[in-house]
Formats: sequence, C-alpha cells, structure tokens
Amino acid sequence: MTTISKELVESFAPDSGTLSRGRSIAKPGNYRKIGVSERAIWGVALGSSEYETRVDLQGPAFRCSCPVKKQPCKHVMGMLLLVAANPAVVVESHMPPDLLEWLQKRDASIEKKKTAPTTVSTVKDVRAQEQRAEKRAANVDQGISELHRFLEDILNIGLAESAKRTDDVWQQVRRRLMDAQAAGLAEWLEQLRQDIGSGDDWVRKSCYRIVQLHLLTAAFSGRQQLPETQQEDIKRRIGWYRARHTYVRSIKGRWLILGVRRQTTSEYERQLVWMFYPPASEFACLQHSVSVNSDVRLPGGFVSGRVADGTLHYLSDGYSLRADFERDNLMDSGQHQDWRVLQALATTDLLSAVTALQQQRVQQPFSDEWPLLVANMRLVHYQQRLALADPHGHIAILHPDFAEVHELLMAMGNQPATLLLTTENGRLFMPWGVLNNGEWTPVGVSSVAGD
Amino acid sequence: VTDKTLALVSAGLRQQKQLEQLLRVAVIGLRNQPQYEDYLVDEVRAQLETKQHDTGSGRFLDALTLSVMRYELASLPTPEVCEWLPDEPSELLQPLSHEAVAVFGYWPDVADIDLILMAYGGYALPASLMIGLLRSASRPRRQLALLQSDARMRWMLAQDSRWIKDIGSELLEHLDRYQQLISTSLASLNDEQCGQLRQLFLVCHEQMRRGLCRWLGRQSAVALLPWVRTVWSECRVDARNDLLSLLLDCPLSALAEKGDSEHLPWLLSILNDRSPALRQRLHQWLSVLAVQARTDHQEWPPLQQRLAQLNQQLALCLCLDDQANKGGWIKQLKQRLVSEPLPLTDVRAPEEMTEALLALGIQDPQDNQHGSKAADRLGQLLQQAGPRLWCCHMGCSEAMAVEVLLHSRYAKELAPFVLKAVLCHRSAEGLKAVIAVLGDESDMQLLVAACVQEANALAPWLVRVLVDVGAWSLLMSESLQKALLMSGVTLSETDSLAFWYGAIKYLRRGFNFERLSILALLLTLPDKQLPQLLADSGWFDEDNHETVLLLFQHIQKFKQELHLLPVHTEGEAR
Repeated sequence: MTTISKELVESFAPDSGTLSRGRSIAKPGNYRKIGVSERAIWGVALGSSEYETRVDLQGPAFRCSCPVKKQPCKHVMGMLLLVAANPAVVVESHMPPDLLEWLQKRDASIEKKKTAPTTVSTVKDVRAQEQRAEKRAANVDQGISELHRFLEDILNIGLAESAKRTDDVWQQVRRRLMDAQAAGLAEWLEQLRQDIGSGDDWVRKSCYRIVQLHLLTAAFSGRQQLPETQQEDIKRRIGWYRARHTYVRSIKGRWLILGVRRQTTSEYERQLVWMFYPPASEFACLQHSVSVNSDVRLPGGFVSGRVADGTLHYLSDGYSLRADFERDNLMDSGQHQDWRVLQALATTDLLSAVTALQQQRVQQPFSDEWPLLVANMRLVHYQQRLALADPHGHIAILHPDFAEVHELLMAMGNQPATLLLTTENGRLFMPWGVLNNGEWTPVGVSSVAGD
Repeated sequence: VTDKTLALVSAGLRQQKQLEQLLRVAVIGLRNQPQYEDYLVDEVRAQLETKQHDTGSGRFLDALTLSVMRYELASLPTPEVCEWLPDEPSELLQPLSHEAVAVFGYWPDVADIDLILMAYGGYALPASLMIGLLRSASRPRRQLALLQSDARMRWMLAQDSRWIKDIGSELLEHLDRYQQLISTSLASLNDEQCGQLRQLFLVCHEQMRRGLCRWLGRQSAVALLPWVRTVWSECRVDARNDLLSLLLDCPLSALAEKGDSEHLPWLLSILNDRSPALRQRLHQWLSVLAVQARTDHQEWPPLQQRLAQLNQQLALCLCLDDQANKGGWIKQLKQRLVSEPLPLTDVRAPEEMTEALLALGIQDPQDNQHGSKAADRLGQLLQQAGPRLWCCHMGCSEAMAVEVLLHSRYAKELAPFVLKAVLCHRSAEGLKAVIAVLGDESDMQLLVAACVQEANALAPWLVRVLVDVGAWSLLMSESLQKALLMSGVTLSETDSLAFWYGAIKYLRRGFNFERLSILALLLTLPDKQLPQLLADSGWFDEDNHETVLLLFQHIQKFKQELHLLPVHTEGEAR
C-alpha cells in the first residue's frame, strides 16, 4: 500500500502555527469521509463548519473550502497528518465530483502550458528581438566598463580605505549596474561591500570576490569564443532571466535527498537542496528563494534522508549543477531504498575527488558549491580543531560556518563513514549528511524544511 | 618524507607567502605600494606580458586574478599529521527508554524542567536534548546538563576544544568519577570511595557540588552524618552551607546512632564557625533539635541546656501582663478572633544585646537600616524557639501565638522570622495561621521566597500543609513548584485532584507550556479523567486543548521513568 510520510507532510506547512494547529486537529473525530487514491487525498473537516479539504498529490496542490487563503491550511495539514499516522482512517475510494472537476481543470491547465507553442515569431519580431538583445548586451558592456573602473579604483586606494567609503558610493555603482540590466553583478557587488572589513578572513574573501567579478565580466566580454551553454550560464549569472522550461537535460527516476538547508535574512528566505541519482551518480542542486514580504512560501516536500520520485531538469550543462525538480506524486510507493548504495558510489580518496573538482573549477571558476561523496572519512584532531581525514591522511578542514560539529560527532563517533561534503574552493568543506548504519543522517540546523 | 615531498611543501609555502604579500598590497592600495613584481610567480608574470594594460591598476587586477586563481585551483589536500579520535568510553548512567526520549523530541519547550528532573533522576540525558541545550542554554545550565550527560556525549565534548573551553576542563575532568559515585548509595561506598567522594566534593566545580548535594540529600542520614563530619573542616564556607542544608533534614534519632549522642559534641564544636551567617544557621539547627528532643522526651544534657536558655530568654520577651490588652494592636486582633480568648501577653524586644543572647547565637545585623535592632533580636529568638515554645509561654495554641505575634507592635519586623520559624519547626498549625494572616497578594512574595528556600528540606511536609490549607495561590507559584520538583516530590492522585479544582481560577489567568509542563510533572491526574478535567477547566480553546492533553499524557508516561516520590496526605514524611 502506498503511504505518505509525516515528515513530508510537515515540510509543506506554510508556518509553524499552521503546523501546530494541524497537529492538534489530526484526529479521526475531526474528519469524515476521508478518501485516498493514487492521485488525491480528500475529506471533510469538522471545524466550526464543515470544510471540504482536497489535495492533488501531483504537484502537489491544496484546496480547502475554509476562509483561510494561505494553503495548505490547518484542515489540510491535519488531514494529511492523520492519513500519514493512521492509514486506517481512509473510508472512501471514489473521488467526489467537485474533486474530479478540480483535477480535470488542473490537468487541462498543465497540458495547456506544456503544449503552448513557443512565441510565434515573425521576421519583424526576430529582427526586433535581435535589436533588443544587442541593445541589452551593449548596456551590460557599458555597466561592466563602469564596474571595471570601480574595481580598479578599489585596488588603487586599497581595501582598507574602501571599507570607509560611504554606502552612497557603492549604491551609485549598484544603481548603474541595475540600469545596465546587470542585476546579478549588482548583487555580487553588494556582497563584496559586505565582505570588506567584516569577519576573520575578510581580505581573502574580498579579494576572491573581486577576482570572480573580474573573471565573470571578462568571460562576458569574450563570450563569443565560449560554447553556447556556457554563454547562457554566464548571462544568467550577470542578470539575464532564464526562459521558463528551458532545460538542457532531464533525468526521471528516484532521487535521494542528501541535504536541505534553509537560510532566512531580513529580505529573503532561501532553501538549498542537494539531490543524488545513484544509477548515473549524478548530483543536482535545487535553489529556491522567496522574499520574506511575499505570500509565496518556499516549496515543501524536501526532507533530508528521504527519496523523491520525479523528473529533475538541469538548467545548464556541466557548468553548474543547478536544477528544478518535478515530483511525480507525494505518495511513497513503499519501495525500499538501500542507502548503502552511496557507500559503493562514493570515492575513497579525498585527493582524487578534490583534483577532479579543481578541474571543474577551471571551466567554471565562479562561486558555486561543489558536492563530494566520500567514503571512509573519519573525524580527527588537526591543528587543535576537529577535521575530516580520508584513510590516506588527507585532511578536509571544516568550513568555519559549520557550527554543528557535535552533530557530526554524534553521527560518526570515531568510526569511518560516508559523507556528503560540499566545497567552494577545495580547502574548506561543509558536511551535509552521514551514512550511518544504512540510514542517511542529516547534519546541520535546518535539515527538515517547512517547520 | 622524501626530498620531493619536502620540495613540494616548500614550493607551496613560498607560493602562499607570495600571495599573502599580494593581498597585502590590495589592502593598503596600489597607490601606497606600487611595487609588487616580487610577489608574482614567473608563470603569472609571463602571462601578464602577453596582454597590454591601459592602467597600472588594471594590470594589478589581472595579476591578482591570475595569482588568486592559480593558488585556488592548485589547492589540494596533502597528507597531514593528525590525531585519530580516542575510543568511546562505556556508559555509566541508566539510559532512558525510546519513549521518554521521544517526549523530549516532541516537547522542546519543556526541556528546561525536564532537565531539572533528569538531574534528579540519575538518568543519562539523551544526546539530542543535550545538543539542543548546548546550543541555546545559559552556561550554568549547560554545565548542569553536563552532569547528566551520557558517556558518548562527554566523549564528543572532549573532542572539541571550543566546548572544553566553554564548559570548563575541571568539570569534564571529574565527570566520570562523579557519575560512578552517584550511581551507587553513600552507605555502600568503601573507605577508598568515601575518600574519593570527599576529594571530589572539595575540588569540584560549583555545579557538580550542587549535583553531589542533590545525591547526598537522597542518602540516609545515618550514612550522611559521619561523611559530612569528615569533610566539614576542609570545606569553604559555601560548601559548608550546602552541607548544613543537607543536615537540617536529619531526624534527631540519626544524631544518636548506636544509642549514643556521638554527633552532638561535634555539632556543639562547630557552633563557632567563622561565617556569621553559617553560625546563625547552626544555632538555629541546634535549637530545632532541642525543641524536638523536648517533644520526643529525649534527655540529652546539651539539648536540655539549650532549651533552658531559650525558655529563659523567651520568658523575658513574651510575658504575662494584665495591661497587655490595652495596646492598639490588640483591638484589631480582637475583631478577628472570637473563638479563643486572647492571651494576656505582652511582646517585648530585647533592647540590649546580652551574653545570654550571644550564647544562643543571636547576632546584631551589620546592616540594619530597615528595622530596629531590638526587633531583629526578638525575631531571631522567636525563630530559634519555634511555635511550640511560644505557645507554652503565651498559654495559647500555636495558631493563636502566630496571630498575636503578627499583630503585635513588631508585626512587620517579625513576619519573616515567624514564617521561618513555622517552617523550620515544621508547625503545620503555625504555617496555616501565617498563610491566613500573610496570604494576600502583597505578602505573597515573602511566603513564596521562604517556602522556596526551605522546599528542599521540607518538600513532602510542605506540600501536605499547603494542600490541606488550600493555599492555591502559593502553590501556583512557578518558583515554588520548581523547587518542589527539584526536591523530588510529586502529588498523589487525590491531592492532585484537590489541587486542580482548587487552583483552576489561578490557571485561568494565563498559561504557557513551561508552566503546564511543571504542573504536569507535579500533579498525578488520573488518565481517564484527564480529557474531562482539561475540558472543564475552560482554559483552552479547541486547538490547544489537544496539545495540552498530549503534553499531560506524555509527561505522565515520562514520570514513571523518574520514580518521583508521591506525597500522600496520610502517612509520615521521612
């Protein structure tokens, strides 16, 4: 029988209050006519009135006749948690007419999007498009020239002196980059401003940021000599929006979720998900971000140490592991996943793994994180700190931002283990999870999304 | 190590040094240090030659980019000298069941009070809870939690120098021995282990001493007294204070082990302690024992002598006087008391400090800005004598004696002393009278503070009296409830129901999960009635009713693991 897991349900909660209220009403007495099919879960919630509660497992999508706009509401959460905890509450197998109608409409809408022809371009349109593209490229070139001068100026007067510059000076350059339609560069510049003078390692970080900005702008200027996919990648980093559904390749199958981390700032919430596809030893990184002021929530359904059946679409080819994921169905097929497969696929030699990584960075030296699945790693004392070492004594120094070393100790003890590590530079490593007695143990604060 | 490896390491270091110099130029600015050629490796210099640069800073930007990327992309792990982690030690504490661990996971809000109970229970704190506490709790609480950490957790902490620094190496150093010792009873320790315990008590961290005291408090007085005597003279004053708190709960019979009053001479010998506060407490203890010996008809000369001294001084302060009723305070009292004739007693405070008062350990306070010295002397005397002696001198009941004292001309000054007296001498009748007089909101703080202070020694007795008298507002005090739990008591089912119905109006004033957790731990509400009791309270709305019910149910399960001592209204406390 197919099931749905509690953790998965909880990851969809729009906030902790809804989750808590959902938990409190997840009782058989609070619902009637609960039904489950391969496609949907439905029921009637008995609150101050009767509410028709519907979930499309493909998507997923949630609907409730209660007055709450933010979905999934507590009635939906309660019903899903109830079904997750006690499948015996299901009494219906035939979908009610309104649910069928809703699902048909959703299918039609999805189909329409899929089959909608791409913009039919007339000759005039193509010419106009080319003109717009040329104009934009010229604009960006103009912005890059200004940025270049600004970077040179920073190095001329020195980073120490630049740290004293007022925000206005930085804002002015940022605005010019925005005007030049290079929002990506503007964001990098803002990060540079924040890096200068703050933190222990600020000199190295700031210089590295300047270098990356310089490389990115140089790559854009010499873009004609680069393969098209790399050109696209560079344009996206500079600020071009990616056209929807323009994926370079897709993989359909069972993906393992190896790590989930959420970060909240005063402006946005961001979610990073590392996924792995064992049959092809492929990694992918999902990045979601939403403004804290918007009603849109980060997508749920990603729980570290769980599997997800669906189609993963890579946004670029080889130069970045960024991807989108379309889940087939929220229901767990019940098929057992042997996580020990990771041990067999992991490298046992940190040196060769980092060497391969550095070769990738030669092609794509920008500030992405790269994943490494390494077996037989052990915690060791190195220079009065805890670090990881492979059987040959190669050391992986833990990233200073990794504060959960005790979680790593708890999961690993003094035994060798298989880990997912990510690194930006091949020197500092961020652990995400540990293979522990055949189970995947996430490490890090926000390993479960949604609560 | 081969020559080739050395050459590689040395080349790597040289490259790193050159890069650092280049970064230094970036920090201070090219205009301040235009010379940077020496910091470039040959390959970078050659590459720069292939490109024309319009400006010097443009060339520097390229030089920096090439050097940084060259260094970055060449960074590879090298075999380093490192130290493998040591083997994990074996477990010393009893682990919790998975069910109890699940409670911690489900109710992170209650971790605080659970921790207190765990410290009492002698179970290992689950690592998942410990990690949460280490992340968020204050340093003393982290240290307290560590006392109950399991062996693996301690092993983990010992691997991270930051944690060792944070928690204190001295605490970590003694933890194994501490847990070994407290996993057994004091009576079963051999001479060598007693010596280890003594050594540990003398050198350990304050939080560990608190833990040891909690454990010692659960030992039999017969085993405790000889051990305290061996360690007393070597302790610092704060440790002596802790030890005395343990002794105050000793029954009189324990002082006369083997039919001989062998501990009494020792008690008399330590009465001249260097610390004035401790001296005062020791005198108080001796007086309590003297009054107890009188009640138990024990004839021990030092205690009889003490009793005589107390009576002598009390006679000077509580004297029969036909004119006593003329005081204004009496009129007020008359209106309150109709069932019992008023004693014709005047209350007089000693105006002068005498040798006899000094011999009883009565001291003038060094900082006495708030009241008269005379009233303070009287208060100390009354506190030592206790209600049973007062009523002998006043010819009335203990309750009446309390009433008279709390309405006398020294009412305000005497209130704290009277309160402490009824608690120290365990006068249920007196305590009820004090609560009746001081029970309004303004005096509640005084009552709570005194009860909290004495809760450890008096817990079962105190609970019985407070439940009997229906002192719900006092029992609803969070600090008192915590103190009672710390001393290891929980209410019996009957008393819990009485408490629930009695305290319901106080509960309605507002709740939070921390308070609920304390209540859930303190009360033993019958499982079957629990949903109805919660529903009847009208305290919760539809949503949080279920949550509260779950909380109570989980904690009831958890309590079975901790073996808390239910206080019964019938029967005698230890």
